[in-house]
Amino acid sequence: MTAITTPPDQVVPPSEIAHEPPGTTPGGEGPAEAVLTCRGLRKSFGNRTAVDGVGFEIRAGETYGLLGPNGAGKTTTISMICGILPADDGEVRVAGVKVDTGTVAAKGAIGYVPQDLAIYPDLSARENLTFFGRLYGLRGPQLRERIAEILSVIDLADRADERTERFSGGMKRRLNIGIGLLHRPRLLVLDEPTVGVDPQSRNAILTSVEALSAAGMGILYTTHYMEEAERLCDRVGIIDEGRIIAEGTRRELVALVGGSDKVKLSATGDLAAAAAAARRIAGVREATPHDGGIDLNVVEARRLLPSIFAAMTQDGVTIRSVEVVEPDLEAVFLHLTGKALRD
Amino acid sequence: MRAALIIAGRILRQRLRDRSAIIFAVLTPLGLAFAFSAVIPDFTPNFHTTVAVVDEDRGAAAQALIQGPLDGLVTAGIADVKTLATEADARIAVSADEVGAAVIIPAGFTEAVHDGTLTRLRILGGGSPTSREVVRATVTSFANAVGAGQLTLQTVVATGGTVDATSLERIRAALLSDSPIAVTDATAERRQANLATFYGAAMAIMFVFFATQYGALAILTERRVGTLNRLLTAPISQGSVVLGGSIAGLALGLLAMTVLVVATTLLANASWGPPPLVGALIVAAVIAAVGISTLVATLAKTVEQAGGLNAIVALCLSAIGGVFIPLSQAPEILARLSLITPHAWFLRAVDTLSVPTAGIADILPSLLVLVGMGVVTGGIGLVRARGALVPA
Repeated sequence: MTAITTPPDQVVPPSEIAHEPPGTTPGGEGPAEAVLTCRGLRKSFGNRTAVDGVGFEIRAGETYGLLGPNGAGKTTTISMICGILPADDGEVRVAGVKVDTGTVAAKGAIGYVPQDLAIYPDLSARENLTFFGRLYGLRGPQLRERIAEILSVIDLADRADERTERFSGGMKRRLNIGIGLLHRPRLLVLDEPTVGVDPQSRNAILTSVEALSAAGMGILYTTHYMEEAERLCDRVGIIDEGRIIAEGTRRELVALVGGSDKVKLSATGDLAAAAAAARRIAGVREATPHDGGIDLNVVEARRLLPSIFAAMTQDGVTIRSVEVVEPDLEAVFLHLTGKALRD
Repeated sequence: MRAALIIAGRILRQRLRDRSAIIFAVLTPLGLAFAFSAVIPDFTPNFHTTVAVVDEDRGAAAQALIQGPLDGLVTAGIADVKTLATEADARIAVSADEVGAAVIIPAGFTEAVHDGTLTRLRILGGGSPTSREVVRATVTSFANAVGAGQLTLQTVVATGGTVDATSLERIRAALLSDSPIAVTDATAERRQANLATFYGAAMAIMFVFFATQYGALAILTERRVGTLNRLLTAPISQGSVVLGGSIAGLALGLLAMTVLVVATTLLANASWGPPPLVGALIVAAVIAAVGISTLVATLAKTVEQAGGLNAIVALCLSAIGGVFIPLSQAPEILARLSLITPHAWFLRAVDTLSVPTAGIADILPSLLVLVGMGVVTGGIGLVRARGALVPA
């Protein structure tokens, strides 16, 4: 699959493009406006509580990951945010406007990419885009231009008039995402977009999401793949049994469980002296020499590595290689729930 | 509404493109209509019955009925008329199938006609529904003519006029002239055309349910394809999603029936009646079909279930409604039961429109019943369908 390379001006209006750190306004004057605010969302099906008091906020240019195992309540949460499912309690606002199943206007600010393909197989890619574009109020030259842009972005311009039932899985996935982008949404909701996708297509989708976020779009990304959340998301909410049990940046989440990075150095020289020198650096919790190297336990290894290298080389040690293993969200999830993310 | 039309347009495009709607809703009924009208012989030229008359009145109005419309049946070679003394004799004759039907003219009939008060002609039907229908139509025609004459006289008197003997004789002559001779004017060629009309109409009303189902199944189809949630996240009302399917069903139904009417008229010499009235009847029938199909679709969980259920309902209603057996040939109980079906009301109106003088008032009951059936069943169906939009 070709990567969905998305020039910013093809996805969102120039006024919405943000190159500052995610969640800040252009110019860094303060936090960007919230494109999604949800509070106290609850949903039960019979006696089973699927979502129990979920709340979070996403700002323009921010990618928020909803990370949890299958059945944790991710899709139900998304369904309430998009106005598919009525919430038993709680409130959703998109760009400041309340959303529920009866909402019409606010839904125009949401781009929804469902987990399963949502395209008409007996229509061509262009007809699919035309149909959904018209539902979003696009028409005439504006619609035609926008369709041409999206077809180019998802690399289907040369197959635009072919029925989608003849498309490969990757092509269908690209069209599925393209439909969600057609009307330049302020909030893009991606529900496990990489499930069942080959590695090449998956990488292209992740690259596209990064580009869209950089272009200023607020993105809600659900996944049960920890590595996707780590790569894409500025903040992550860990959801389990219908509740968000932890939320923050990856570093904040790791800090919640007191995690430290493991550093494996391959080195020669006076390793015992080098280890002792390293232990004197604040943030180095442990340094153990062994044959051929030193193992360290370090808080924020990436920040401290230069200091560690400097201390060791002063003692005449030659460093041949270094490997940093940071605690991941999988570990956080295991710590918080007592079970693995893929359970 | 705009969103509903966009959705309907997309459904129509898909159904016309895959040709399923054309095959099921147009080509199949058209082929069957031609086949039936060509293969099944017209039974009407050989029809003959005996009608008994019990004249308990012995007045001028009774004689007008006997010498006018009933003698007209004899002249046309449709029936022999036999006079019996009492209603009891008539019941015995009817029960023994000695006569096809009997007309009881009650005592005081002529006086009631003159006074303009309520009176009642009774028809006893036997084992032949056709005989009963022929006699019923003949006597109804006479009763309508008498009513018209009464209205004329009452109008003249009410406006201060007088009625002399000559005028009265002219009115009486006019009543007598309104006899079933008009029926005998229907030549063999005309009756053949009616057969083509009947089978065209029968196939049209049966298969319109297959045309409208494509709209009724829209929500289930969207759910199967996976597009329902995407539609629900679009900035349109949820009602648009449901309404779009109904509009598509309506359009497909209208298309299917219109093609059948035009094709049987041009190719099979069918005689449907005045185009505006036929148009109104088609719209009413399609509304009924859309309503019932919509309701039936909400009873199923999958497209396949709904399609099967709709086919069963369409066939059952067709069987009860006189599609396979003309109701005039059906037992009395079936004729009564048929009134619960849109098919019977549609076919009854088509029959009515075959009379050259038929107007909107003659088919109004059918139109109202058909639209009523559509509105009630469709209303329930739309409410249920909207409830089904929410994912479980």
